[in-house]
Amino acid sequence: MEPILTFDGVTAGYGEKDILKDFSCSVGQGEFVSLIGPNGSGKSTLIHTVTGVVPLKSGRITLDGKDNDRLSHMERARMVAVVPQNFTPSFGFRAKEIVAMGRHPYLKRLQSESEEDYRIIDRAMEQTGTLHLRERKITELSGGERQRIIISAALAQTPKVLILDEPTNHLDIQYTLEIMELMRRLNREEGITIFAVLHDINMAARFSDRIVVLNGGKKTADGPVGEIIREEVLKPVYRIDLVTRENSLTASPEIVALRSNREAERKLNGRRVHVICGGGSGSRIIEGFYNQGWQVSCGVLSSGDSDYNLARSLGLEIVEEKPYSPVSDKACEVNLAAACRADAVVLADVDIGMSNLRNVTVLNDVAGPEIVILRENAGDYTGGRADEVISNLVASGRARKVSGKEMKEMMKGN
Amino acid sequence: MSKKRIVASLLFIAGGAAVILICTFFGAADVTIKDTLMILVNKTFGGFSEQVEALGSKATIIWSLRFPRSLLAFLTGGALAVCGGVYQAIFKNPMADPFVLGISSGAAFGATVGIVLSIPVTFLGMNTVSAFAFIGALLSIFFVYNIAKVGRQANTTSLLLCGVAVNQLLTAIISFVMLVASNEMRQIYFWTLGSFSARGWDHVITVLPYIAIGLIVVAVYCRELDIMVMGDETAVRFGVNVERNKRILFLVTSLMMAACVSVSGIIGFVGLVSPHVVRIVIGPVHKRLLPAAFMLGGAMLCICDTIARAVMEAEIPVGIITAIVGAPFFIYLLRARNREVM
Repeated sequence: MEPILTFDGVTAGYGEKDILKDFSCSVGQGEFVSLIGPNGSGKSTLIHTVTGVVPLKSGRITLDGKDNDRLSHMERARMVAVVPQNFTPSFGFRAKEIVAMGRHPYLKRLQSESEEDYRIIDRAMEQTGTLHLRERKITELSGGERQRIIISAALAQTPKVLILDEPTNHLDIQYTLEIMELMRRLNREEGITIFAVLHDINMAARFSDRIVVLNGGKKTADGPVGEIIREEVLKPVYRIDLVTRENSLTASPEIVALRSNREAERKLNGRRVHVICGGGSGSRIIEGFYNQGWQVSCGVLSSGDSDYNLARSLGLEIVEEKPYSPVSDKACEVNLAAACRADAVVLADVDIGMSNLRNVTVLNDVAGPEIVILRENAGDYTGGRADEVISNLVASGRARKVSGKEMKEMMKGN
Repeated sequence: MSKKRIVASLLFIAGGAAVILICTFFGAADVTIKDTLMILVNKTFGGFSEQVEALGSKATIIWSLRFPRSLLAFLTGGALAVCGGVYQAIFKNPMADPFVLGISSGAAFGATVGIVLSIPVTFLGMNTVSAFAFIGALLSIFFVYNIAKVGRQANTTSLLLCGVAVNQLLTAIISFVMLVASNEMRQIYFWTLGSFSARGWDHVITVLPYIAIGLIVVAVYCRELDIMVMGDETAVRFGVNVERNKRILFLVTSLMMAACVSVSGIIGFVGLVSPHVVRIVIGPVHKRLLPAAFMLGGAMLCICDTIARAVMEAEIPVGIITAIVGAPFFIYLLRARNREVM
């Protein structure tokens, strides 16, 4: 693939401060590359270096083999078009007048647009589906329409590379999808190279070929979507707890952001709790105890279960079993050991069937820790065997039933 | 140029000529409109020599007093409107007028110094007060620009703020001088209100080159002004050299304004309102907006000046008329059209 936009050891910033540090990256002809990274990582600055708004301190940017520094404003505007974050013009220009501005880099002073220019302007509006808006005033258009007009103006520049600077930042989900789908169509059908700064990691994963990750002004990863949308790549950059999974509906990997990473500031209270849960019944309980500083373990969970994913994202100790398999002897033993190590064992409001009945019967063997049982809506699909165990435990005083509210009190240590 | 634009241009020129002619016709001494026209044709193209000679002093009144004064008012009004339009585009601010960068107070300060010192000098064909005002205007804008500048770029917000600061400072100094030099107080005060009283061909010839050059340069930048309205960063993306354009446009508009202000004093409102009115009616595209604003500003000031000299017993400073006539009309237009100003 012919490189069209190349950053070679680019260092740039405002005043003394370097925002971008030794950034190198190459975008090939016809590629759809996304640039992601947290706020302040230097994404916008990177775009400003291409447009020449921020000068380079060292390094080089080449556009189609030409040194970007040596290009005039006009020459550069013929090669690169940038779609800005938001665009709120206060003067009531008509849509066609805004799109016509895209032809400016091709016109001499006092020269009017030619037939050819008008053809290009119309085509640009056709591509974005805005031809019917041509006589409308930009101030009267919706956010999505306005963004499509500014994209048309960028297309009218007939650029080699289209750079998007968080093009959907101020748009709602409908317009965001509309714009991203338009970008993919332009890329696939018209062969336009796209270099997009995106806030939304899932949009980047869904629409681009390749993702570049920027953090603290440095490139921390660069590769095909599948290699970047991984917990080990993204977790340290965004400092949040997240899980990645394949979204079968969009046929692309995606992240689920769980919570900001509080591991560092969480104060442990020195107590342990073992949560017996599954199917999402444990999520609030796990999170509640975790947040109050308990050391939490859970079991027995099928791998891939939602409680399992949550526990894994928090880095908890998990007693694990294969999906759709009954709790094995081995898992049961580990579960019992984990329960006995804890100060308290919680049986969550989980449905009990034959495959996880041992998660309940194990409580008979737990000696030492306080056993707390939350039963509100969950069903017993074992012909009453689970309920019998629970009743006996409660009757003998070895366990107590609590409400959700009492559980919360317990988390706080009361 | 399309046929439509040629027709529009001719209509504009005819309209402007008609306004100047009618304004020239009004005045204390009775001259019929036919005689007025005859005198003007005679002086410009020749012909009607006998009839004009028979009119005697009326010919002098029309040709040496009223006509140059109307013409000067028209040119000044047009220049103010064009500069107002350019500044509103550069600053993307509806409140911008030709005086935002401190030109008016700089000129007023210069004029004050000129009036108080009253040394007889002439400079570039100007008398003492005008010469001082001209220099004062240019110095103030030079200061404002250089204070606001960071590196090679002048941020528009800091330019506006510096303009405000310099305006305030110089106005305070002028007030102080007026208190101290109480003999000249009335003269200084009248100067700041703006007037075309006793202005003639000399003044027209003084300002004409600045206005002509200024208008030509602004015309060349019309398309880029459209794009600059979109914001500096957007304009750069469309290939516009924003910083260079700003410097060039500031330079020519400053010279234009300094020349105008130095002969006529400070005339407010025309430069602020004309571009707005035109924008409401024909839209924001500068190749149409600026010529129309020139005509509107010119006509407005020319008519206001005629009112100033011909309606009341004693002549009123024209700056007062422009505000009294212009403000209600502008408010009416805003209400009637009920649209955004910009």
